[in-house]
Amino acid sequence: MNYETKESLKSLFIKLAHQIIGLYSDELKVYIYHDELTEDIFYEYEKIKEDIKNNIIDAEFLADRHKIAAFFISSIMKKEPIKIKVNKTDISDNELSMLVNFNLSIVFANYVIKVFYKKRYNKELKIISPKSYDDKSKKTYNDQLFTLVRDIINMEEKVLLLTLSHILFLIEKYSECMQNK
Amino acid sequence: MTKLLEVDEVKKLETQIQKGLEEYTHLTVDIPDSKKEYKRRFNLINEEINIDEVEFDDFTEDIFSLTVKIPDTKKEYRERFGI
Repeated sequence: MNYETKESLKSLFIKLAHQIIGLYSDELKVYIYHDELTEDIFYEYEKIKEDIKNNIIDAEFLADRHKIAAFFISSIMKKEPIKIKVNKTDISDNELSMLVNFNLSIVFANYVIKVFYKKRYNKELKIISPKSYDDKSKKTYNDQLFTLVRDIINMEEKVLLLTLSHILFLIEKYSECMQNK
Repeated sequence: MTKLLEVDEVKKLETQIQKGLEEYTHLTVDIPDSKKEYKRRFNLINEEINIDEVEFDDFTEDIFSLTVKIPDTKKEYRERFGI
């Protein structure tokens, strides 16, 4: 990733972090995100990428947009840049912090895919997230994704992040099909 | 004892098989022509995409559609996320 791309992504990330905070500020006490944490996120991203590259024993390994997005999800979840304190609910700070940071990570990851997709195919892609949920379990599509991401990042083996990148690929293709329908 | 099928039952089965085959063909993966292509497709040799500039529009709508609703109670949290 070149310097300009990285700097642009950093400014996008900061803007998204502030929007996510604004989204929950009525519901939760949110500690304001410090823009300096962005550097940590991007440093962690590079670390994860190198780690996976070294583990798959493939010198030619290069990251595509889905892997870049998956690595960013992991780095954001690990650093948890938005710190919150519970206001209304009986859920712990840690659990809610994980949820809010997941929201930031998934929105950012989708933007990474959208931006790179546009550059590659010269057309817009709207990532689709169905609103429907299972009546019985009350689980939404995004709930399932959260559970998956939480499980993957808690595992020692970082290579499992590639599984997440394949799922992001499928989401992108699903969105593409729905868009062209 | 072998049970003989009625003609319309056979036709129904044939249609089902045909439909199944079509789906199967649709779902199979093309065999790569070379090791290089195999590696490119299945084993992570992807082009790294460098972009000169990043453009983004107003993403408020996307934030709402992509974010997970904060549960009201610990019970709801547990039910939804399987803790």
